[in-house]
Amino acid sequence: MPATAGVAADSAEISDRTLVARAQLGDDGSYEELVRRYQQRIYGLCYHLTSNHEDSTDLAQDAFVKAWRAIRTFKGDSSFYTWIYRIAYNSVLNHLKQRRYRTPHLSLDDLDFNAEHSPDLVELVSEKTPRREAGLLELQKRLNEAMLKLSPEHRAVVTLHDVQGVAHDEIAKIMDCNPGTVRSRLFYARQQLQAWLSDLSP
Amino acid sequence: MEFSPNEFAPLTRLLHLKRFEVPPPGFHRRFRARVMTRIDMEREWAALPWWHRALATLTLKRGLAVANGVALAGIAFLGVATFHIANTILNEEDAVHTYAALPLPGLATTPSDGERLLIADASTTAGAIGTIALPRVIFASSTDTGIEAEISRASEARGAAPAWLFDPPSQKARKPSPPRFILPGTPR
Repeated sequence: MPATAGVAADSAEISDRTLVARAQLGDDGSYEELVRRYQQRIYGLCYHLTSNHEDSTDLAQDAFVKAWRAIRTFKGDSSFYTWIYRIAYNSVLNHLKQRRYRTPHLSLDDLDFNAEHSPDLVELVSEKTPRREAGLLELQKRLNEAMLKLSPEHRAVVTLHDVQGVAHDEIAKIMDCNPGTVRSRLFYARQQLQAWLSDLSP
Repeated sequence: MEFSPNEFAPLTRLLHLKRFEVPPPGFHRRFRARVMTRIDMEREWAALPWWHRALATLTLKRGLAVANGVALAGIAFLGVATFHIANTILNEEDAVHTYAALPLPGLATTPSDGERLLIADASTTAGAIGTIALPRVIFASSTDTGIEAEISRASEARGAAPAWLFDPPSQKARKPSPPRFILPGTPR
């Protein structure tokens, strides 16, 4: 299931704020619910920034454990979603500074089965497009290689906006910068990616 | 910065594909369980006494344990070396005190048989025998003077030095003993 923008919880569910308040009082069940809600997105952010499954798992776990340690200091100035994203983003940045990139572990074997029915994918690999020769594996490989050529900040902007669908303002809060900086980084990163993937364009 | 939203439309569609990169089935269920297990462990860790946490931290990783082992070995070596040096200095000070306590210069102690008798140096004694033919015997303890003096007087009466003191072969047979104490600054 693809990640979607926004954190507006279903009205039938308990709000994040309530869960956070309970977690601050030591309710592990509430915190586990918060983990359940955001684990996929946090893992996705870590994975798209590192392109490594094991590292992403560790980093996402670290982010949730760090958030649990600091949950009592969370005052609710921002949403829990932004807060946990910021923790994960900073963890990944520190990780990338400390280590060199390793070979990506995920392959297209790990693609969601639903991907086969995605209109975007169908169009990309259909016989009517010039990209029909590029197989699914090659496509993913080229995309990941191009992503890894970007700086971590530019990769984060592309990941958050184009992959995870987060709004500019939210990205600015997560990355602790201006929305204008987010837009300019996004523009530059897209330009770079388009240049590197030009042979895949129609 | 303004740009057309359609300018990157193909790229954006391509990037949407990355949404379908997901971990193996069951990953998120296990992930949540692992996070909660780690939180439980953190809580238990925080409940441990500080010394227990410090000890566990020191032995947690192999590299850290090796480094601590090397550091402990170094400390032990320094301790032994310091003790050895201090012991040597104390011995030298004892040597100075012992030398100062000797009754006369030129006398050597005789380590054999535990006797407390101090006799004159062999060369000095030999010279003395040649000239005055009297044993220069000095007793360290006044309690021994009776017997020793009697032996000396008897030997003197016989006109000869007491054999047990001045028998040349027995003097030669005695192994030369190294000096027990060396004063600091003495060339060796």
